[in-house]
Amino acid sequence: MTGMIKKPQGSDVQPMAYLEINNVTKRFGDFVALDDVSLTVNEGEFVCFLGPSGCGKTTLLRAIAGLDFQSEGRLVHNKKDISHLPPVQRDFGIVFQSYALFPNLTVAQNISYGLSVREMGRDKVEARVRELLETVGLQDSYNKYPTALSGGQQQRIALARALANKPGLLLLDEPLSALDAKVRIKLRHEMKELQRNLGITTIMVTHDQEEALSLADRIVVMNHGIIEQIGSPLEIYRNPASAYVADFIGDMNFLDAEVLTDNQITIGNYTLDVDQQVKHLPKGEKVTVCIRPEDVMVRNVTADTANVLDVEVLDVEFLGSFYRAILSCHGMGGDMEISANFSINLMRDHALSLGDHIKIALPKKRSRVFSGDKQAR
Amino acid sequence: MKLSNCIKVLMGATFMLGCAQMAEAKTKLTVYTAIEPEELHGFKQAFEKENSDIDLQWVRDSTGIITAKLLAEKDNTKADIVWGVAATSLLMLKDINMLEAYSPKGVDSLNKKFLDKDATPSWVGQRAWVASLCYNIYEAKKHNLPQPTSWADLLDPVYKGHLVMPNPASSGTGFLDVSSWMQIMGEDKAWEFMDGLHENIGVYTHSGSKPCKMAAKGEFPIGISFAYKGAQLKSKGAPIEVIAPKEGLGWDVEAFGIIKSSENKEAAKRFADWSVTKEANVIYNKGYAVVALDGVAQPVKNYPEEAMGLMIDNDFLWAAANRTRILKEWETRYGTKSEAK
Amino acid sequence: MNTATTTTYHNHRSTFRQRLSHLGKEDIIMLIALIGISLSMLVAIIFPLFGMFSKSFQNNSGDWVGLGNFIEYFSSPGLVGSISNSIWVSLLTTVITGLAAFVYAYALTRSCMPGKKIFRALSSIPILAPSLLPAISLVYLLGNQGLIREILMGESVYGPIGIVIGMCFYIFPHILMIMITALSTSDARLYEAAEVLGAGPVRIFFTVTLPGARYGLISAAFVAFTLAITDFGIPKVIGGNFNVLATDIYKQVVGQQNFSIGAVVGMILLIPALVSFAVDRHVRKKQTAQMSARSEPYRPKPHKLRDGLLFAFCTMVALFLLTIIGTAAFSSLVKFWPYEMSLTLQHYDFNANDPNGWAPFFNSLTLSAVTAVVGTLMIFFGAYFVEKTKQFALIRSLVQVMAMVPMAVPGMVLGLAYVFFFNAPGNPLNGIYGTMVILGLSTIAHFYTVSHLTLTTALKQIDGEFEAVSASLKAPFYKTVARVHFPICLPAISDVAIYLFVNSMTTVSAVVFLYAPDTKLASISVLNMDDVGDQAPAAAMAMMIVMTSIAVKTLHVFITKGINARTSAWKNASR
Repeated sequence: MTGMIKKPQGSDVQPMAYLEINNVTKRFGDFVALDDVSLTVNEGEFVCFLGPSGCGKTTLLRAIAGLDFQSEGRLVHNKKDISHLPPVQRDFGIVFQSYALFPNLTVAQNISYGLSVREMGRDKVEARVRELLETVGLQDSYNKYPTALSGGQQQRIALARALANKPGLLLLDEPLSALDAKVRIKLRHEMKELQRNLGITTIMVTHDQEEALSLADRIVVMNHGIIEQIGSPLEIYRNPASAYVADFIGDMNFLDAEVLTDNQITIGNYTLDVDQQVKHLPKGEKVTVCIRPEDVMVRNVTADTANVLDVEVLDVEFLGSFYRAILSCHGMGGDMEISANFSINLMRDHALSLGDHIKIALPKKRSRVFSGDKQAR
Repeated sequence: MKLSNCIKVLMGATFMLGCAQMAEAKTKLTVYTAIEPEELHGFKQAFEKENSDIDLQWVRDSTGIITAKLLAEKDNTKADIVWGVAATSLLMLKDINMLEAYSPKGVDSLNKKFLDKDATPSWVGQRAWVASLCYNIYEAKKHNLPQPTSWADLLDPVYKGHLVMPNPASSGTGFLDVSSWMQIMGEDKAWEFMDGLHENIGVYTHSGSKPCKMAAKGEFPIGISFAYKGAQLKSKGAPIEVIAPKEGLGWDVEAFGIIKSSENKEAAKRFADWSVTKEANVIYNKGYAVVALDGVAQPVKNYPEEAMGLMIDNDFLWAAANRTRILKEWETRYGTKSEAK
Repeated sequence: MNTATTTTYHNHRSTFRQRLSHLGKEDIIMLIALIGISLSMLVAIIFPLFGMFSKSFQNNSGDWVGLGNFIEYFSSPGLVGSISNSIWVSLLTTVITGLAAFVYAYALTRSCMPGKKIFRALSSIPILAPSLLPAISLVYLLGNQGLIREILMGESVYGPIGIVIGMCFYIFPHILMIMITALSTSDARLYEAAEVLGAGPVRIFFTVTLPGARYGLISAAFVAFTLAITDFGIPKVIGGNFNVLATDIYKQVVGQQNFSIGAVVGMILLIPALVSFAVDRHVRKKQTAQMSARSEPYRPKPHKLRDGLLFAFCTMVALFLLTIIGTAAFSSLVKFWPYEMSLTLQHYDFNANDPNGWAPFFNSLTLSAVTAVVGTLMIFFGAYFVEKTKQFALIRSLVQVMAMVPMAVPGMVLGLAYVFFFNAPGNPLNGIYGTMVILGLSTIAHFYTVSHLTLTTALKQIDGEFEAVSASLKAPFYKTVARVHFPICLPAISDVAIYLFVNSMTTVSAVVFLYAPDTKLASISVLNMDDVGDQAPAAAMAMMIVMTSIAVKTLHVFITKGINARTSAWKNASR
């Protein structure tokens, strides 16, 4: 797992393992929330833990923070073994979904909560608070109470507070989930920029794939307490390591198939070429073919094109910038359905309507094959 | 500057603590008593004036309760001295060896009737209190209740619901009533009498003085109580007569005895010494006509004159020996009056 | 086999040790605090109850007699009669108070009658008084020299009549609160739906109002029954020769020093309390499930006839409450009832009426103040550690369970249990017997549950991540407790402090077995003075308690206003 290291952006030096998570397991009674998880986070990197609720992402974050101790395994932060340190002795700032701002303290008191007046002096504390407020763009809120701020503003204050101590690690637990869609997108950009400017190593937990794709340098996809895949957003999207990842990130067609040769599979009456992906599988093995709707070829499909299918247009749904078509392929056995994106142009040019029969192709470069049928996913 | 302030505060605190400790240095003498609460303050003041190093701590309740408490606590009792409690009860305590024999200075001048017969007495009497009826003239007129002159009169159905008497299980007065009726009438007749009396009783009270207080307020026109309380209330202006029924009056001696297990025996003895002095007897006489030191007693205002002559020849030993049995029988017969209805 | 066991044993131990060695400074503070809290709760609640439990199977000398005491108790007809007396009197009280409180609560929540605030305030009068007070008042009102004795038509107030009326006064505010809660959690939409479907007011009442409030009503009924069957002050003063369980236990223990039978009665008194506790818990769960976040509160519309009738009813109830308290006040000032009705303050000269004089009153003040401060802090920290710590789940749930126990233990039973436990010769805590400490401990224990629940609820509303945030900011948890949790919970904390203060002033039941001459309390003094027939001074002392409670409550109103003024800055700050 540790092999998949990506250089932090804009740095030429060899990436350094800043946070090492080694074989961490967490049990709650009989339930295994984290099963032997290992992972390395590099200095300055923005890593997202992505997965549905209950996948263990928050548990892992809380183990890193020391809020819940792992049952087994080691955590090394900046070359220091922090496996059993209480949170107070670890070096992180944290932002929660609820922001957890102290309601009875002003914005300034919230931000300066962890700053020691005795060590720093009153002036320096105040200067630091003002500096942080400026960073998050809320200079006017110094003496306000959190309830006087909007959700997005509260989120920024929580971020400023988490950064006040200049922690080595910034932990974000679903920080944007409580906000409306527009504010969320705006804050997403601001956060990314802030993180890039400060160069602070950041780990964010989210269930929102879009958020993860847009923010992270690397995404850790988790499921049932294990890591399914670690990779850059593009890798994860283009080359999902498992049917689970394929399903979780973006839209995906899943087609039941059987292995025919080293680079061919059959779906019903059709024989499709695939890359070398099934080389290691025995003939007749049940597999699942995955292809994203936007990768289904619908234009310029001729008889010569590889992997052509005859389909009927069952339903077309207008989604703004394109149409999503549900296509039925009778030759595939059963009533297998495939989703495909039709551009506005295509619809206009071909004047497609329900019940039309058309040809599509499944490009082999865009198809991913996973062993097991889709029920087993 | 700040430090010196701290020191000042500390010194002040130490000083106050010291004062508190000096106050604490008084010996606390725990006195179990059944004497009427309003009298206790006077005794405490008089005694502590001369014995400022002793702090009397009253545990006051009705005779029955004080007795039961002592019998249950036995050697664990917190009491140092039992004081102003019926002699019948002290006899029971002597029987189970809880009392320390001691002759207070000046005990020889007391009337021998008031003393434990042993050479060194285990208990010493202070004064006698005598049963009486408190009869509310005003209410009696309203309800057409004739003035009773004897115990037997009280069985008249005209009094139904107008009588009140103390529960002998808790009240010393209540017990001396019951034991005197038994000594006057014989036990079987006495139970018969009480069966009848029970029909007329409105409520049984916890304390011996309450029936008279209730009579004085007219809550129940006739209260079976004791003479001193009646005399006192009448003197205060209550519309009552204090009646001494002609068959004879039960009485008991209020007495004291030092508890064997006490850790404050020196103080207890000094209190015992004081309790036989003339000064103490003068205070006893404020309410009670008969006190242990001869020649002290002055007539008490509104005290029924004939009472003295009607006092029965009380057999304390018999009363003490039969107390538990009588109370048990009484409880079975009348303890749950409402059940009979 | 053998080796395997040893290995696992070693493993367990090493992980435990490991865990111990990995505890931070703060964890150790928390652990010590939690252990301290659970130990004090064991000592203050569980051990004494166990002591009483085992005493009920021993004779007075401490020998094991099995069920002997129970057989003795159940074979004496007088004592068993008390059970049926207690039950029917409590049932009658429950029905009367239940109906009255329901209508009163209905008027406060579902009508537009005028003066709701005043009625609400008046309804809490009885809470400020010891339960002895209504009984004393009733003697003056309905006794043989009572002001309005004619309304009893010759029946005696001494007995069930007096007990039931006194109980109604004493219990009313307690179940009114439950009823108000039950009636104010109804969903307005249900009413709209019923109206749209053409249901008339009677049908709506029986199909919507009653079913909606039924859990609250059940809960209120059980609470009323338990309070009635376990109260001791009222039957003691006005019960006459009518024996009930609560006076039995007092007679057996104080009167006859028969501790074994006392323990048996204590065990019997635990039964209704335990049943009602279980029902209440069960019902509470249903009640919360019934109310969804989307429910809309019901807002009554004016209705002349209904509002008028309800107003008349509430006025009657309020007059009853005022009459009781007013009679006590009046009788404490009358020179010699009923013959000399001129007014005097002489009954307030307690030095002349009670061997302990004014001392009991000041003892009560001290006890109440200390209980309010120490008790509130103890309960707050108990609630905090239960609610906000993440580790030591076992100890936390132990504390949580123990905190619920006092709810089911009547005061008299708790007091008696304390006698058994703390007065046992071998008990190292024997020293606190007969001191103010045991009175404070019993009072805090007696009123623990309600206080604990109030503070737990307040703490629950505080974001659970504050501890994590403050840890990440390197601030120790106690700093956050002091700067954040405590200020936020201040309204609830002051409520609990007042609750403890007033209850310490008025309670008789637990402390009646525990006081010593120099720690006698005002409420006990009322009891003693009434016992010897000094009813006017008893009323005077009871009024001293009432006036103190009122003063403290008034102070509380101002303090609450102050707190609200300070907190409104951050509570309702507009954007």
